Amino acid sequence: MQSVRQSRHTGPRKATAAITAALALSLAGCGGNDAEGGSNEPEAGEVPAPEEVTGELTISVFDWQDPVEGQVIEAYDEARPNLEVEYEYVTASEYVQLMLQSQMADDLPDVVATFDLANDTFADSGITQDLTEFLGTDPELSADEFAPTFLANYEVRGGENDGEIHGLPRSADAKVIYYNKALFDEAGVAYPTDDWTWEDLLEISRQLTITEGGSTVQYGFGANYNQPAEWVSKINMFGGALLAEDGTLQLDSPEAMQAWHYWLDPIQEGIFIPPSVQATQGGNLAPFLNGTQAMYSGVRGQVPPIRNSLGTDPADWGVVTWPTTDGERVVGAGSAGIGISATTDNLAAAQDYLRWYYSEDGGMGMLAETYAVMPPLTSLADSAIWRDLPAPPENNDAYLQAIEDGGSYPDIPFNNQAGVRDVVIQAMDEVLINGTSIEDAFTQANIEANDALNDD
Amino acid sequence: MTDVASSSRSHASAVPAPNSGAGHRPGRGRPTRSSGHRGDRRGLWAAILLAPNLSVFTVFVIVPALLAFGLSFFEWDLTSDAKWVGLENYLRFLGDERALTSLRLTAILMATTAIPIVFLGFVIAIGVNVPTRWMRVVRTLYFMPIVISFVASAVLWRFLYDPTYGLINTTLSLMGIEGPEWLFSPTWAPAAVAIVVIWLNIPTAVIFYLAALQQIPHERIEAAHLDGAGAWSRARHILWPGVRQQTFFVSVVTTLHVLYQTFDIVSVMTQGGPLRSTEVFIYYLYETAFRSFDIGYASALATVLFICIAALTFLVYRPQLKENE
Repeated sequence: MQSVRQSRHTGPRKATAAITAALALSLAGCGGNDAEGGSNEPEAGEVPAPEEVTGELTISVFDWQDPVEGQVIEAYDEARPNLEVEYEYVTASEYVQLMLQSQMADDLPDVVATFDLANDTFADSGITQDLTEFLGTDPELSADEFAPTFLANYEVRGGENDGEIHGLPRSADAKVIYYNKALFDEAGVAYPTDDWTWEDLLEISRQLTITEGGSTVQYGFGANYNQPAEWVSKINMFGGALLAEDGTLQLDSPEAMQAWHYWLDPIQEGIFIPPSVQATQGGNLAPFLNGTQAMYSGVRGQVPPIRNSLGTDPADWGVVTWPTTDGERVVGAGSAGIGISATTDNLAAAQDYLRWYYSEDGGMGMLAETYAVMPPLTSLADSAIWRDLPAPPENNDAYLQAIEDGGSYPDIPFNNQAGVRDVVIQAMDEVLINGTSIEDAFTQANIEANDALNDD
Repeated sequence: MTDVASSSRSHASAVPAPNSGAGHRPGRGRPTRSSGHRGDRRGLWAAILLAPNLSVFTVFVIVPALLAFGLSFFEWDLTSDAKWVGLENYLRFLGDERALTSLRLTAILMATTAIPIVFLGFVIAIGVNVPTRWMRVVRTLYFMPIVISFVASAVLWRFLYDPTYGLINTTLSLMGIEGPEWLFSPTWAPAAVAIVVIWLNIPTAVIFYLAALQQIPHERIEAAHLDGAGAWSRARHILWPGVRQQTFFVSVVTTLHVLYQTFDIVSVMTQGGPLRSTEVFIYYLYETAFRSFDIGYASALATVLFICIAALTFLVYRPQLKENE
């Protein structure tokens, strides 16, 4: 039976699904009610058989996960003959707003896409429910199986839900460095290895930067400089923290200043691609894909476009761990995730979906097969579902090392995160465009960011 | 019913039909009972025909606008309960340097785009009003921007503005001029946005001016020509006064377009940067509402924007209203 239904909309349609199902049942004369079918209140520690999972299940999915996530859901639907599944792609840029609206309208899907930075907001707003008990008692899915750094980002910090787990990471996305072997070969530069240092990266970047007629036509390295994960991890690496214990931001601490120099000095030197050039080329990944940048700081999720653009031969490109600085290495990390809505009326099916989603021969197997997902389960670290995929990438250990080295984002309220990011980007622009010193720009940025934090 | 009819009669007798001259000839335009009924029926039909649109307008514009006005007196982040703060959001606006700067930038953008749109729209309309063989093709080319979405236009212009590979700087370099870093220079980025806004709005202005120019009696232009008036004189003394009403209209429409269109353009091309040099008021409002979830303050900003638009519309239309009086 193909009962799965897909839509592309800006809000869940659970009410429509309920009406449709009710009509279908009354027309069939069965008069049954899925909501009372005994599947709603699962017994802790019991796993229902596939045919015992009944009723309806609605799922929200980020639009950027199209079409993979849809295929996963359709496969799940095939495996559950008595369940009707409906899923919907939701615009990621408006996702939080739409979920908050859906929560107010009591129209949340049963399973919600989530992400680490929104976890506490979703928990406090009553969008997602606590999974701690489920993960503690379920025979098939346990909190211990997940990579600790990534799971910790779904643990609520502070407030009435303190300590509760309100989501699970979909993929363990931690930063590694991709490099274009052809550009290395043309310059006669040896490929980097996992024991390299930041100084090595800078030197290689110098060798791979090409200038013609006063313009740089090839850069050594680039990253998503606007991504908080990139710069927060480096503040941590230098021994600092973005947020002090008293809740104030420390964009101007000595450790933070080291991090800003770490990123901005090579851009000013001209060996790292500037954000302005990235923007003209269509984003931070584009210059690496089109061959105007030799190295890129990215995550496992970016393997599919890299394979598409640079090739599927191991001789085309490679991956290596982030270099160390004075023996230390903390890399940017983060994840999209999956949770169960606080208002689900089919908890049994929602939990069943999570079990299937994270199984090696279920959802995780399908997701890993696309190269776009790094299983966040330690139990799958050596699994063939991702390790035995044809290279490139060859150096799969780099992803495992990145998970070990992954940093986490501080507990800044969600509605302040955009403001903090914006202030940092403005400060970077001050340095790169106006030539303001890093010290002056970020001292001013710290005042602005803390003012904004206090306003709220 | 009688009251309505009599009211309708008195109204009909007080207001002459446009260009009929009935107001000066008592008796001829005198309403009869049957015309009163006809007026009632016409009013009823008008109400019936307007009702669907008015309902939708009420539900999706008037009610949300009133709710937004109400929300402007609250502090609300969508996640917690709304808290009454009185006029605090408005006072915050007065001290919000970023908001005031974005408002100033919007005003500058409106001034620097509305005048070229009106002027170029008028000039191009005169140009394409000449009946020649290829004029349909030329008109189509001029109207092209109107069928392209704002977002697609912004993406297109982003490529054109590329400092290294863009068509504009490549052309400039052929002439020995080093083009600026359009979208990455706080000096040039506002100009780059303004150019796109002008490009997008000229077709609307051309359509209105073209329609108006075609209403001007050809004999009048020909007579001026025979009297020795040159092209400049004809344009200044016959065509320009002949399209005065359209100029008012185009000014209001383009001003409103500038206010709203810039959101799409800024969002795609610059995201308000570099260094907030293109952060127009509507973009700041969006950021406040949907990135910071500061709904109460964003509602206050929206109310301020509404007041600005209303005041601006009144100022632009005031000369015409006086003239009608």
